[in-house]
Amino acid sequence: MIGKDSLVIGQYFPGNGLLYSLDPRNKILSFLFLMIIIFFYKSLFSFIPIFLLVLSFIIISKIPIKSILKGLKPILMLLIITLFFHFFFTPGETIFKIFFLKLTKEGLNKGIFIGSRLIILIMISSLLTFTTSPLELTKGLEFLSLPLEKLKFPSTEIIMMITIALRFIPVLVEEADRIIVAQVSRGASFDEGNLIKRAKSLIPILVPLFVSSFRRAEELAIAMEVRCFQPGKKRTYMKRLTWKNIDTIFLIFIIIFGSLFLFIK
Amino acid sequence: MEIRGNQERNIAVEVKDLKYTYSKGLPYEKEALVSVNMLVYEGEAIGILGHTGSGKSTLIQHLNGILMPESGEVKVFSEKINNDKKFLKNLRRIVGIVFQFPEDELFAETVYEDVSFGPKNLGLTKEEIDERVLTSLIEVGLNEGYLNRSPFSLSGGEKRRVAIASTLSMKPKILVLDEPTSGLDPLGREEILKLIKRLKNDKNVTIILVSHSMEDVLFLVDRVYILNKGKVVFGGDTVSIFKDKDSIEKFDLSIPEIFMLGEELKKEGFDIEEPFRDVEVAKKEIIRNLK
Ligand SMILES: Nc1ncnc2c1ncn2[C@@H]1O[C@H](COP(=O)(O)OP(=O)(O)OP(=O)(O)O)[C@@H](O)[C@H]1O
Ligand SMILES: [Mg+2]
Repeated sequence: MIGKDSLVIGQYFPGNGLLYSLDPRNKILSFLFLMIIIFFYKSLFSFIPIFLLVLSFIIISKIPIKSILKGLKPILMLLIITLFFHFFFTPGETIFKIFFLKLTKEGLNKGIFIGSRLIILIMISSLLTFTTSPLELTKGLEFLSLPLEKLKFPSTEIIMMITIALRFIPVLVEEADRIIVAQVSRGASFDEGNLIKRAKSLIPILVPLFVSSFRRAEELAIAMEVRCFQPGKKRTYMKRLTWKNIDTIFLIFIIIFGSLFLFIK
Repeated sequence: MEIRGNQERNIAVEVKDLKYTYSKGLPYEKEALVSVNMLVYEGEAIGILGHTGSGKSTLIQHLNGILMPESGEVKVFSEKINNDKKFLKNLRRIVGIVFQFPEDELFAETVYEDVSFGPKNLGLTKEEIDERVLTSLIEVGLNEGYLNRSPFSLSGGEKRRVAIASTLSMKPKILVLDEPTSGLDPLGREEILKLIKRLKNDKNVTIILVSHSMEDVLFLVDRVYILNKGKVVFGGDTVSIFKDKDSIEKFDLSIPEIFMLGEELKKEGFDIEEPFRDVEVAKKEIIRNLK
């Protein structure tokens, strides 16, 4: 079975607290700002306050550290490779040597610097997706990308597609789960035989999944049409986004806080 | 059939203190089964009732090792279910499950291919497979004319039957059905029920029926278990539960009209020996009274 907890990237974590009450546009802007500004940091020490800030956001939003670590897992390999190359292939003062590999002082510094930046980046982005539901997120993105419409970029349509796709991922996972259970009950197994046999064993899952997805897509299309949906027309919303005072305060705070450590050498 | 009602009946399924939690350890974990005890004898038909979300589907997925108990145990023909691959393969031959809306799981180009999927997985010979496919199709009331048709070209009721046939072709000793009649027209429903009854009476297949329909339960099963919030809150024989006004009210059940007719006639002074389970019984009893 696929298991819903394996889909951590981009997973929303229902809860409440400061971050949950902020406008998604605000969260996107603030977190994007943080993610960009840390690229201009020149010293490892600048990361410490940012790290602490992110950590305290995680704590007040009551997100288990375990889930954050899970979000870091996919980049673990990337992290290791990055560290390895920086540690051993930066010329400079040698600390110690194994065979032809020289660990240099400069390499150590640079590796840790880039590694920390990567970790903080992932933490910030998972903080955003953990505290913002996919629907809110797309709504925020749609609003922020409205200026692009002027350049004939079909942003509402694209966002609509993303919204629908996001909406149906859990449905699809559930459906796949159900079908797998049923086929396993009929004696199917997916981890036997050579590659071709394994690929073939997926047919009893994929076909019903496609059939139901097409049916769903058709039903959705009809449902949208009877509600007079027209692509490209301006949408109105039942739940409007509201920018509150706290949003302004938060955004200003983040901008000041982020810029404060820009000049630490 | 001779030994029915006797202590020596084989136990087909034994569930002891079964507990199961979905997404254990995560903040949205859900305790679906708290503590379930259940006993099913070979050759009998039992019903599992309960509101949506009471854990019925979760329970039946333990019967063929799809889900493994968090604590407690499940025994099938006295063997405790474990994680061994060979054991599970054999278990899935013994316990056939027809899930809710089984027609959604059809996948092949022809009915033959779909129904033969199970037996093929068992590694049977071509002759055996062909024989099983045909017999199970006939059992569900279809004929060889359907063998080469595409399952997607069939009607809803026919699809349902093909899906049931594809479980029957595994020749299960225990057949578990999760709401087999939901979404069918009255005729389709009656045919499915009769089919299940035939399997029980003629082939001594043990039946476990999950259902919301009191009519289905009354018609088909000997005993019922009622689940509520992951616990068995009632276990007893079918007729006695419909006679017991308190439990009917307490568990929010409804009394099938045909059964009520029997009870009402009894009140009017008719001599009713057998409780009305279906039209056949009612007819027999009424005619006997009129003579
Ligand atoms: N895959 C799953 N992940 C998490 N929770 C689940 C999952 N499947 C079921 N549940 C939850 O477990 C509980 C029991 O569900 P189950 O499907 O066993 O109920 P049911 O009695 O079969 O209901 P119904 O009559 O609607 O089919 C429900 O509260 C349900 O939300
Ligand atoms: Mg169910």
